[in-house]
Amino acid sequence: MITRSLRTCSAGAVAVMTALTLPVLLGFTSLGIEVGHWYLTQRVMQGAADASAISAAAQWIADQEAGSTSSTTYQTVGVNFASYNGYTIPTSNVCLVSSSGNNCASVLALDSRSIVCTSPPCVVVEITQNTALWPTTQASLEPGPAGVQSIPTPTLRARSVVSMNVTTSTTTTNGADCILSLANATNSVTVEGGGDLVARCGVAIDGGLDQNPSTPVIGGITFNGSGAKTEVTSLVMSGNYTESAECATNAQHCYLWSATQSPGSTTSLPVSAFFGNTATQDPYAATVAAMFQTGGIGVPPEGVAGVTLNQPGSGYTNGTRLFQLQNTGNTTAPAEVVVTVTGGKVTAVVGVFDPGVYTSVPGASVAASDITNGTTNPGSGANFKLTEGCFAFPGTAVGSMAWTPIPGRKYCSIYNHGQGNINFPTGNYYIAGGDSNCVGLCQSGNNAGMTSDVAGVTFFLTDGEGTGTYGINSYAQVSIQSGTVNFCSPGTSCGTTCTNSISTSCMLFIQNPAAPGGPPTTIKRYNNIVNGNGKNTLAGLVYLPKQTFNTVGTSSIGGCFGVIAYYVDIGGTPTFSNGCLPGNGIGGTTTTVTKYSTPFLFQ
Amino acid sequence: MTRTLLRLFVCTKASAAVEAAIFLPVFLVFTFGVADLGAGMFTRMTVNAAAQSGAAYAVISSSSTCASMSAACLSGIEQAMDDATGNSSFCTGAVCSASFTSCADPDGGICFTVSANYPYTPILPSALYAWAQSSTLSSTVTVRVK
Repeated sequence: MITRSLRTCSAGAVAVMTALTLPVLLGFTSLGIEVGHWYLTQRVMQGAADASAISAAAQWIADQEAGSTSSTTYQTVGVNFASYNGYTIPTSNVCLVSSSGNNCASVLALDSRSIVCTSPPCVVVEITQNTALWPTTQASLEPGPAGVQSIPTPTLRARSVVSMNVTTSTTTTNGADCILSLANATNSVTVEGGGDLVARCGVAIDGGLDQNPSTPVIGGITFNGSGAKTEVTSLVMSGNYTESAECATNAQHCYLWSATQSPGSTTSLPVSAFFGNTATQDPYAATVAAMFQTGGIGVPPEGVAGVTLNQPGSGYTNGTRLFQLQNTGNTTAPAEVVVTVTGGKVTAVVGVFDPGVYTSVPGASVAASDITNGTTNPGSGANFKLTEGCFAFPGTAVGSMAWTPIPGRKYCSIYNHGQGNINFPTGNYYIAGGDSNCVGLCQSGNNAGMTSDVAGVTFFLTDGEGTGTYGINSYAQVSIQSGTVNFCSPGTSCGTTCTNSISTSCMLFIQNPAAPGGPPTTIKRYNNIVNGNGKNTLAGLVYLPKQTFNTVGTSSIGGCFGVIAYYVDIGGTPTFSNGCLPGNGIGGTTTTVTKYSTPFLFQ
Repeated sequence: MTRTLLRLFVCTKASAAVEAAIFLPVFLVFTFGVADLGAGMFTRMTVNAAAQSGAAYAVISSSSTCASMSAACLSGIEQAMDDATGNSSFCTGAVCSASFTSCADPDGGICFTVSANYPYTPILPSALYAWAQSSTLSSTVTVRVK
């Protein structure tokens, strides 16, 4: 009875329907709200990741600029700033992508999307949230039927990638010095007797600091004689300049170079032009050292030192003839030899005319042809055996055949012994060790002179390759005892400036840094002397890092040239100028500044 | 009198109206509450976007306009925040703020902190939500620029 009336009664129907539908309605409503919450959280996470990545990038840049190039502090900063912006992440969620790799394995394990960093380096920050662990998500999904439970709960991922722009700028300041001495001695630079060192530039003495470091640092200048003086624009010394106090306190030695008065400036060098305890780099040390390494431009080629007749051949023109050896594939310039031909056969070898340029001088006999007067002449069958070695400088003739210097060859020495003027065509000259005539480049005789083409020459002063006095233990030096020289290095055009266009630009005398050395007064043999009564003119760099550059007597040297030497010993009245030095000159600086900026490149 | 009341209890006429009268306020509060929640989340997202845009402007301009906290820098930040919200008067009053100070982080640096505190006006009276939280929606971004 009661059951029947209950079934037919419609009272309270809305309440029943509401009771049935309300949980479902509430469930879907809360799910909708929760999905919105996911989007909101995703947006907030991205902002936190961006802020964290930018902050980490700022730290990375600060570390790079401070020189801490391998610092990982950026990771700590990234973690901290993620926290400041609401999210806690582990250190491994902050990583760096560089051009050589990355440390982002953990980030990629969390989020397999590839990291887009088109312009490394980039800082990457990853923030993740597993919504299944949120109480709000769990409340939205539970309790509910199985179908609701299967709705996926996403892991929210926010990744920020910030690219740091790297720009490098180089600032170059030309040097103001034209003399640099490298010995750590109070007489690193010495002015002798009535000598007057005139320099339209500064004099730098580094010994003890950047070069040949030792203590105490006493690199300074010494004046031997009351008449000794210097006229320069500045004096930079590695030692405390009180070591050279006579220059600072006694104006009779030190004067300021003057365009109108020098030589003979009466203006004392002001104290402001002294720089004590100051290092000056040798700007050419690395460049020159590389020149004398295997394959370097300062390493002489092989050449033919001697020739002996093996087969006389036949059909040749009688007389003194010039023969060129056959190119056997190992030369860019075959050797040439002067021979005597009698009865159509080669009967004697007069001497080597051109040692040639060889990668390896042939050991077997080599055929030759008569090229006298620049044409190929009749005859055949003659061949010669060759001896490798440096070429003895023949002066002005080989036998009766006129001869002029040939660039690019390996000479034992270059010696002008009163033979008038010898001009050196443009190119590199290799002087390897010396011989009994001369150890290097020498000149004697008042009427002797050496000049170069305007396009310039470079003399590489290096060692020999044989044995004995002038073999591997002998290094070429410069010894101009009399006469005059007028040399220009490449790029100077014998003028007042130099254009750096080739590797030997502005380089005149370049000595192998492996050469032995010592102080000028005790080991005279290491003096590189420029003497003479005439006016010598040099243009370019004279580089003698282990030996002494010495002007003596009443010699006068002019031109646009600078000197780097272990010791500088000045007599006479040489005039220096720094316009013809390679690169930035002496005392110049090259500063490379790397700047970073952080453009937005968010992933 | 007693009979009249008895008849009223057993009478089922207009029972739907009575049930609706009881349920409607609950239903309306629930409906408008959901709408308020959605609108609040949207506003919260807008406020967050404003703070992030302001911080982004500060970072981008950290070597120019915002090398220090100048009036031009603040004006630029507020403009960026207005643009991000699509509301040209979003930064009215004290809603938007920015500071340029040393970072509180142990590793140092210079930080920008950009905040947006936006008063949200719900459909239902604010008093209804007083038990929940403030109706001012806030977002702050702290980022190191140097």
